[in-house]
Amino acid sequence: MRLISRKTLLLFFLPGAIFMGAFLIYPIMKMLMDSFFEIGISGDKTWIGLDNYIHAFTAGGFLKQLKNTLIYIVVAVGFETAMGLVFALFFELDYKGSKVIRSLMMTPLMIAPLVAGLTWKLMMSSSFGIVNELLTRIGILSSTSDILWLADEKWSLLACCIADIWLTTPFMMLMILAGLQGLDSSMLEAAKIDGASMLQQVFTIKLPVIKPVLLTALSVRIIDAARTFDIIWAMTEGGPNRSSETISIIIYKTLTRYNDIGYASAMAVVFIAVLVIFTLVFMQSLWNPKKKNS
Amino acid sequence: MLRNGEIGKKLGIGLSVILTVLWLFPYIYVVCCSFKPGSEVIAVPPRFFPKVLSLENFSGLLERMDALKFLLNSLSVSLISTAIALILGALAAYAIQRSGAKLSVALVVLVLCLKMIPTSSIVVPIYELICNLGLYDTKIALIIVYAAINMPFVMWTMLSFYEGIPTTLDEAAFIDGASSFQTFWKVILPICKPGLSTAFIFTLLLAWNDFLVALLLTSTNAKTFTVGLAGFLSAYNLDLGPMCAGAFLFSFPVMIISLAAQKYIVQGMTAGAVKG
Amino acid sequence: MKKRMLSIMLTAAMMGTMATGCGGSQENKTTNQGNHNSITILVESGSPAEALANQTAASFEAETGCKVIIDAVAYTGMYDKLSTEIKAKQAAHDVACMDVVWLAAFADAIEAINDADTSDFLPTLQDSGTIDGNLLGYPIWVNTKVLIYRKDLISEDQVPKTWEEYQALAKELTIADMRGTTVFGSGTDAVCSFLDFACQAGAEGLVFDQAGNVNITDQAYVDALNFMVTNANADYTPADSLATASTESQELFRNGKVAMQLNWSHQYPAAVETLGADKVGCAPMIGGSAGIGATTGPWYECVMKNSKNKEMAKKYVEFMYEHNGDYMDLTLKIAGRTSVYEEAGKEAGNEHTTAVLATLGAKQSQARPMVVKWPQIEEVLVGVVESSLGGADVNKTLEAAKTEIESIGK
Repeated sequence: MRLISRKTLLLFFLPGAIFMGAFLIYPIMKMLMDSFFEIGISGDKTWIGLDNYIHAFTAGGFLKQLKNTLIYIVVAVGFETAMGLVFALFFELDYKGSKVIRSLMMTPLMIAPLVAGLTWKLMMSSSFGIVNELLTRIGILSSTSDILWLADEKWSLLACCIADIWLTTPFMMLMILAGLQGLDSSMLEAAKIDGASMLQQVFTIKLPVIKPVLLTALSVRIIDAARTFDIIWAMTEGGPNRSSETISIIIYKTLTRYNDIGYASAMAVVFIAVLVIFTLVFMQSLWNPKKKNS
Repeated sequence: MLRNGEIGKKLGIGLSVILTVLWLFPYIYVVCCSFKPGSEVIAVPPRFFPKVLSLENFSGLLERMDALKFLLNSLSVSLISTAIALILGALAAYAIQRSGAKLSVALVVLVLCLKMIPTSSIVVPIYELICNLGLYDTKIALIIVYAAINMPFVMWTMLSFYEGIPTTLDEAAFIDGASSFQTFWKVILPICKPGLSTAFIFTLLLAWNDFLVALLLTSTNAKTFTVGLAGFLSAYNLDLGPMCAGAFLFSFPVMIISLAAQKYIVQGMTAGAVKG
Repeated sequence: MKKRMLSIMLTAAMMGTMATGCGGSQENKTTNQGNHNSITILVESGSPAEALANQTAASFEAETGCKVIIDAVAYTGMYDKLSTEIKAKQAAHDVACMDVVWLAAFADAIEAINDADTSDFLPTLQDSGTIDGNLLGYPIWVNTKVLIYRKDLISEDQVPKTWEEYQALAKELTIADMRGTTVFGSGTDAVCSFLDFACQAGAEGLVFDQAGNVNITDQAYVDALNFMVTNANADYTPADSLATASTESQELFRNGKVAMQLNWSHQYPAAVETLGADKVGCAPMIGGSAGIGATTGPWYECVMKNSKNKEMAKKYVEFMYEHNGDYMDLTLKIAGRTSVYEEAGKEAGNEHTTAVLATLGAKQSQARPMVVKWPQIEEVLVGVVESSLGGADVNKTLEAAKTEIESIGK
């Protein structure tokens, strides 16, 4: 028996659809259209077919930003996952006040990415930043100007990654913790009795249990990392010399500063297409088994 | 064996406490800076704790920008857009989940894809649309845009919650003569309160923390706090003291909410990921 | 517990609705009418323009009955806002303060004011503000870099006038934890520095020569860049030049960590305030092989074509021009009228105005090119300075940049 008729389905979906259609679907359609034109600052359009797309993939296009985005994703998500995993193992322990500690650890998650970016920008400043001051006192750096986090091309992308890692490692930790809750303690007990070491316990029992959670978390984080804007904008605006520019940033800059709407639209279309395909592929493997069960 | 375990446990506890403190370090630093006199914030060499406690950064913050107005803007815009997104999203998600039509699968996929769109790519077309509607620099504009952007997230969260509710409830209501809407409003929604609470908090945060949309769509009337905060990156003077005060003010309510509503946040993040 | 949370949230949402609802409908009425009782101006946040606009808003309203709404945006956001506004043909701002480098890009959207009295404009200001024969705005102020130095450490006859003197003196003054001088290696300030030195080394036309060709591989530019690299690598400048721009340099100077700096003239009064008039002196820009030279950084106040209130907007820019002298009462003390500077120069504490006039009057002082694609070109130049300071080969960097700028076009 069908619970909801098709008509009701459409009716219920309609109000939401109006909102989403106007502000999500319409912009994408518009950009799709615009990507085939060259549009000047006063609005005159000239049809240039696939030129914008070809430009994007050649030198002078957005290949550098693509590389930066990939590096960003790998470094940020990699560290977040590894650290999240290690932290989760520590925070798993139940003791008086463990809930409080866990809540405290969770708080960076709620901070606005912009605020996180501004915070780290202040801390990583070479002249009065506390990061370099501490590193020098510990002895890792010989002077506070050894590493110019935000001004040196070599370090700027990494600096942004660090801020991102700080902001979202708690998320990975949380996901993994939640996954570990579903662990059957009898299996763990059995392993302990069998004399398995801590490491063995982790790898053979805990990891397989959290695999589905981990995969979901990974897919969400990879997409979010690809879309990062606020943090990088606050810290470096993509500089110096485009070294920390990711696809999100170059699209925005091209739209507002260089006024090349056509080209920016093409880049945006490619970007969204890649994200969507990635999501579909990733989710397909997770969604299908679920659908089969229900 | 037991002793070993005890030492290991103590070590684990100690480490997690230390880790937490270390992790909160940046935030604590900002809080400290908020209470330092302006010159101490950018003193060379930098110090962690304030030598002197001072509230001048807060007064500086209020002087430099209409902080209270922006805070209120952020608050009202977030609350209302969240309410809209919640109601319409929950409704739409309910219909999709309960209907067995093939169409609903397509809609689910659509919603998922919409969730993935990067905001920085679509802000400019949104800006033009808002301007054409004559809504530039109004709170209404922010409200409807936030509601639209965050709706897919609400739908996604509610979808997984609905899955946990057996359809027998719907059927019972149907037999009792309730219409689909009545079933939704009176029977299902009250049970979904945990899901709604989670979606509420997350969507609220998404709107509260947003920067880019507000930057382009507002000017003086509807400016939100995040945009105001970003205005401190100026070349004329290093106004970082008031900026820290602002950052502290802005994230403080968020921290409190996150501590108080921990349970819902955990639920929200793990929704759809963990079975049962 | 859950029920309570839900009801709290719903109540909060309702209260929020009521609060906005009441406020919102009123807002909509005023913005949609485009009424003649208010104009909106765009200023750079933190700048003297913002301060003066705030100060004079009340008297303007008293004079004309028109309210002034001030929108202060950070420098980096101003260009984006203006360009998005213009593209969407919106009239969000009636008047906008613009950096000279943006005039070319926005020329079509600015209402020309060709009937203005330009006799009191400081030198170079009329040229910088004119495109295709149209004067696009009243100058708010002009700024150049001058030499700001520690008067107590450097006597008047020691003040350097050439590159060699400058470097020698910097070396001499590097004692203990104090350095001789700074190098701007970060962002747009670095580009201005680079162009300053290029002027001094004999550049004819900045970035583009008279014929419109890209000239950054000329000897003048090579010399300028080498000068910056040598200074940055030497002991007499702080090690983090790549992170140093105007504000950082000023902070170092005010904390007693450098003895000299070539910084924007408005930093002089601020330095005097911190260190005292007996410790801070200022002199015109130094000279290279071609003499004194610098690039200018004027700001203009423009009426936007899309404005629905052009009459009032025009009145406002004229009003602000009348009040140009008031800038000297603010902390940053820079202005756009010759009469104002001449008056101010007579007072103690305003030595920078004389230094600026001297620098502006020099033959090699030039304005940056007025081209539509300046933001992109500037980014390339930022890359040039930053790469070179980071160790890249100067000639190769300039060659590559030249090709890039040529492909960007004007």
